Amino acid sequence: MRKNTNAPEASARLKKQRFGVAWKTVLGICFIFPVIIAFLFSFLPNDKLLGLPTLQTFFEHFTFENYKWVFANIPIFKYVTNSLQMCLIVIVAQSITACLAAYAFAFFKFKGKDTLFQIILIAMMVPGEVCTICNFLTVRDMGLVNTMMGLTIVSLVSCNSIFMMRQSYLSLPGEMREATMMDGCGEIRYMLQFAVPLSIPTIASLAITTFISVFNAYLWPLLVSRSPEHYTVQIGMALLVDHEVPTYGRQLAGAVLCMIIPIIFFVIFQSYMVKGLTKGAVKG
Amino acid sequence: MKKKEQTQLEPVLAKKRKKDQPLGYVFLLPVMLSLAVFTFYPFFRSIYLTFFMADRLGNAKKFVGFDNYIRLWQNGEIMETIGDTVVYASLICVGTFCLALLLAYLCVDPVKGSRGYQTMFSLPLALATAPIAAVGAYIFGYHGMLNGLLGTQINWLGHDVFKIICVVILVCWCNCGTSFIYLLVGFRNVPDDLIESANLDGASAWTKFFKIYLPIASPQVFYVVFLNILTAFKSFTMIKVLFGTDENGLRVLSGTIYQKAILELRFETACVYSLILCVLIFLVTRVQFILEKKVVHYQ
Repeated sequence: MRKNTNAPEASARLKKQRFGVAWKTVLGICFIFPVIIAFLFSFLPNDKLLGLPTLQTFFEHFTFENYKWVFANIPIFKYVTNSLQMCLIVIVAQSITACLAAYAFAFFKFKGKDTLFQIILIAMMVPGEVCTICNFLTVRDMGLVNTMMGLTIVSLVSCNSIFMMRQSYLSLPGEMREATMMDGCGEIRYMLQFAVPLSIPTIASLAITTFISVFNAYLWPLLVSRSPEHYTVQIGMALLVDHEVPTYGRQLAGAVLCMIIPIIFFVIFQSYMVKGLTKGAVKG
Repeated sequence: MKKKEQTQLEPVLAKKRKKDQPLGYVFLLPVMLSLAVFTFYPFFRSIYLTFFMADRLGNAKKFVGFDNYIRLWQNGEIMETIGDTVVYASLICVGTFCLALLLAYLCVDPVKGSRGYQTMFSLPLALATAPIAAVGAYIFGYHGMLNGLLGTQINWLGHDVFKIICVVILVCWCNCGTSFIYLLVGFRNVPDDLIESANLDGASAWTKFFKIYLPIASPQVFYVVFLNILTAFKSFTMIKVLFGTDENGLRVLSGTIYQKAILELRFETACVYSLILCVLIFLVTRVQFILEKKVVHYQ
């Protein structure tokens, strides 16, 4: 009896839900329409892109010309590898330095520890922008312009990472440390076998936020990389955008090539990225 | 027996605890070295440089006191740039926030199939700004898509008002992925029974949104607002790619720093601008800190 009365209601609710999913999906497709446009129109020749191409021109003039031109003239995959290499170096270096420094702050006893920690907190408050120009002068005087070293050297240490790693170490149970120490485990072994493996979620979330900020970095690579073989994606793309003669087809083809790898990564690792981003950034 | 063992071990542990551990200095050495060379030294050098005339290599040559500041103040450059930056940053902040709020509220119920549109809404997160700027240059270009669509002949990126709107739309689109995810997590934190009882009481969607979702997600809302302000202050990729080195493009602080230092080789002027940017960012973070205690309510 009860089941009977509920059945139409439930099916109505399900219908409503499906309708909701459907129109939100349509909205989602509209939302990412710049990406779709870039993909579709990158197969059209330049002169057909002045104004809005119709569906007919799309089928008639379908061409790979733009991609051929981009591959022949612009080392776009070099840019992508440069960007990824830069991200990798920065992430690995920041993780290592943060793991070590945070370990010292969390577990060691030595003179001046509090003062040193204060220094880290002060450094966190200095915005990176104010240092950029003078850092550029330093890096130039070191002769590191146009090198991967120059691109990454200023961001090998992140105070934020140190802070977060310290929090993560401090949240490990103290009994575990006591017990391992009693069994004669040394500090370095404790760090490598217990503290760091147990903090991997924190390291991963820091890696993701670092990846996003380094991959999008613009001002610093613009200053340091001056020759095409050292450009990152961000800098290289800017060259494709011609302001005098519009070459939209090539622009779009280049944009698609730059976007395709991150999009694939994102779709695969989406849930990890979401978890990593939101972990620890906001209290509450 | 157990107690005896403990008493035996205690001196060993105490000895271990008491000892000064020099390994700590070794662990901290790379960090401190890097901070000294790439954070504190450049910070003070920037301040130092603003009081000098610098040569084209950035070395301080002649002490001029506050002349650099006075010169920029008198020709009105400073106020103009700050004004543009503040307008630009606040538009981006408001735009991104509203867009992300709307999208996050649409996705609030985790139903079957919601992952699809969630991925689409958060996709901009994965994209670098420059490729999007390239697509934007096509959409808003003089021979581009929008003019073709509307049948108009408007130079969107050359017009005083339209160019700001175009840039803001594109930047909002770029930035809203991150904000969307934070807000979505905030909204999903709302307990189900609260929503159920609100539904039983016949609360409208508006009431639920303003009286339940927003207050409970207030930490995330707060974080997102300030995150967007700070990102807007720092980012000029979109402007640089869309306008190139065009003098008529938008002037924001970070872009001006680049222009003065690298294109004009006026390092002392660039340092003045970067100090101003630093002060602005500092003020915003202070406001954030003070407001956080008053506005945000943690569970």
